[in-house]
Amino acid sequence: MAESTATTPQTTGQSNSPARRTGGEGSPSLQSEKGLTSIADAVVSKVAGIAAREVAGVHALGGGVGRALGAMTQRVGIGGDSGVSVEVGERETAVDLVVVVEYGESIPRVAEGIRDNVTRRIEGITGLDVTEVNIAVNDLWFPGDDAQDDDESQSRVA
Amino acid sequence: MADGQSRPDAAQASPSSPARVEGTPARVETSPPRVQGPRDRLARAALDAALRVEGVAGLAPTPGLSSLGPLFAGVDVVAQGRDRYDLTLHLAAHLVPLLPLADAVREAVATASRRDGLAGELGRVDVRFEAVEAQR
Repeated sequence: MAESTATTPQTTGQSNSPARRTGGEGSPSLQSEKGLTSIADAVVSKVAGIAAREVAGVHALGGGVGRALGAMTQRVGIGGDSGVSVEVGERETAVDLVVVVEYGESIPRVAEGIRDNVTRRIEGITGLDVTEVNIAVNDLWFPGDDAQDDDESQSRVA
Repeated sequence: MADGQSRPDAAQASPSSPARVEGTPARVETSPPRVQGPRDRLARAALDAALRVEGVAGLAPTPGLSSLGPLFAGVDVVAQGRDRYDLTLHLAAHLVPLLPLADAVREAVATASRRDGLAGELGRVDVRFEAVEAQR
C-alpha cells in the first residue's frame, strides 16, 4: 500500500505557504537585548516526531523505505526523524509528516489529533508559531503485519 | 589563521596537548588546564554556568564553528572591541520550554561572569539549541 492520503492542512496563517513567511505578532520574542535565541531544525523535527507518536492511532512515522533507512541512520547517529520534515523561520515553523495509521482508526480524527498535539508541543517547547501541519497517511497497519513480516523474512532465510 | 601561535589565548587554551619541543622531557600535567586570557576565561565560565542550568542536556558543538579549539567546543566567542566579547552557546536541551531556558542560561552566564570579574567583558549571549533529548 504505497499510496498516500494527504489531509487538508489546517493553517493559522493567511498566506499559501505560511511557514515561508516570517514575523507574526504575539509570539514570544527570540530576540532580546541580551541576545538571540535560535532553534535548529532538528529540534523542531524531533519535537514534532515525538508529539505525533503520542497520538493514539499512529503506528509509525515515515514510509516503509524511510522507516528502514531512518532506523539504520539513527543507529549510527546521523539520522533525523524519518517521516518528519520541517521548515523553520525566525518565529514560525511548518511541519510535514508522513504517518502510518492503525487499521480501524478514523484517519480524520487521528490527523486532527496529530495536528493539535504537534502544534501544542512545538509552540510550548520552542515558542515558535506553527503555521501549518501537513499530514500524509502513507500506509495502514494491521495488528498481524509485523508477525507476517517476520514469517516472510524467516522463510526467505531458510 | 593558519598557525595557532598568533592567537595567544588559543595557545593557552589547549595546555592539555602542549606543543612538544625537541630535547625537552615530557612532563606530566598534575594541575587542571590553565586558562588565562579574558576570552578563554569568559568562554570557560559561560560553559560551566550553562551546563549547570536545569534543562540543559549538554553541549552540541558544531564542527568547524568553534573559534577556540576543542577545549571550548560548544561556544563561539567573537571579539567586539574594547575587551568585550559576544558569546554563542550551542546547546542540547531536555524537552522543556526553550525560551525560558535560554533566559536562564543568559542569567547564569551573567552571574558567572560577574563572579569571575568578567562582567565588563561580557557582551551579547546568543543561545542556539541544536538538539533536544527526551529525559529518561
